[in-house]
Amino acid sequence: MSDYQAGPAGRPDGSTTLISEMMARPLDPGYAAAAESRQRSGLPRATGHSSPLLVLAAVLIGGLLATSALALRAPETSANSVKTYLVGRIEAMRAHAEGQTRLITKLRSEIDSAQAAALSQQSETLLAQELSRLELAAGTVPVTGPGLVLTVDDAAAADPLKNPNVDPGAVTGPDLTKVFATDLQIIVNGLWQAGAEAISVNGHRLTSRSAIRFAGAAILVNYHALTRPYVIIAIGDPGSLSANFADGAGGSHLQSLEANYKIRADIKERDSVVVPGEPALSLRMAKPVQSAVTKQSPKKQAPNKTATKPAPQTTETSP
Amino acid sequence: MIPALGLLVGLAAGLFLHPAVPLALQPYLPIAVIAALDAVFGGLRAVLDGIFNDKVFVVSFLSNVVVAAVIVFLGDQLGVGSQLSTGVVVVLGIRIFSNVASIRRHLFRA
Repeated sequence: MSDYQAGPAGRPDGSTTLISEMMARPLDPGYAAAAESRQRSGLPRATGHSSPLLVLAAVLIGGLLATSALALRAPETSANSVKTYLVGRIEAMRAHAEGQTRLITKLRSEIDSAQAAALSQQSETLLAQELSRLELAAGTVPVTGPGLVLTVDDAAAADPLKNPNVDPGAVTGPDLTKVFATDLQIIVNGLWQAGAEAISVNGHRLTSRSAIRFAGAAILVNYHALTRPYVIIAIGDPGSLSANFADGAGGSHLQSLEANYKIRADIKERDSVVVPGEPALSLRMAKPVQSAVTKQSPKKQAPNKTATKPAPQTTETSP
Repeated sequence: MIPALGLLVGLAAGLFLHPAVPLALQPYLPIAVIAALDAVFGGLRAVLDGIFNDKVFVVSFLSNVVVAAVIVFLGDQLGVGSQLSTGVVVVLGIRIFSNVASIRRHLFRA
């Protein structure tokens, strides 16, 4: 900046000289200075374009552009291809799982209607009643009734307070403002304790084979990952359920979560809630020691049915 | 014309030889590219203004790259590397745009 000229003192745009300098004269002032000194000594203002120094610089610039394009682009695309591959696999497997779930639901409804037909043919109303009672108890059919809707969510203001420069991987302890699987376990146990008859978490029915557990950062219920907020629906006596829950261990745990970690919770009593059934219930190894169904309905065509292998849910009776 | 050929030769050499850039130098590459582009567009504008000077061009190119790399290095040491990189990109970007606008006025009279 050899020809930098300081403006007269007190210029109106004095505070923005840097910007106006940058905007008004983007060309290196060295060019003008060199041109003027060449003109003074009698040479043409501009030099030629073929000096070896210039060609060397041009080659250097070209090499720099190509090298950086290759060096900065290659790792990103390889990472991207792996990512897209994984995303594609996840989506394909998810679609596959959804298809299988639909198939299970369809087969289950077929089984149900077949069972109903078989039972009504034999007019064994006692058996039909027994079956529907067992289904209700096992949680394979949706149930409705009065109950509670309990919504639990992570603390609200946790993220904006955090320094964005902090590496998320560098956090040493678990983030206590989040809902853990343990919290859900304690709450659900409290609900059972308070007399709940059927419970679902985010639409997943808790049955005798359900687990609430942690996998990485996600809470799994029945092997499905949940996303917040966690909506727990419980069916039970509307008067005593919420009072018992609030008095019990689950309610006090929830209160301490709210008070200490700002975890948001909301309990609403409803006259009618629906708890869905859990389609993926199957017993493969467990066999009944003694069952009314096994004793009374030996299946005639059992041998030639083995080829079709229907859903294993019906195999409570078959070995 | 010869510098343009040199540029092409450099591009081809970089593409075909595929030189390995040390990992430590990789953060400086984007800034170096921006600085080089600034020097190139400055030089083009000087050509069209009729005041091109090869020595000024080479020195401005080299100093641009070196200063940009030093700023990024310093920023990395101070823990504000990304912010300083942004600053360098903004300043050089404005210069590139103004130079390109001037070149455009020269070439298209618009």
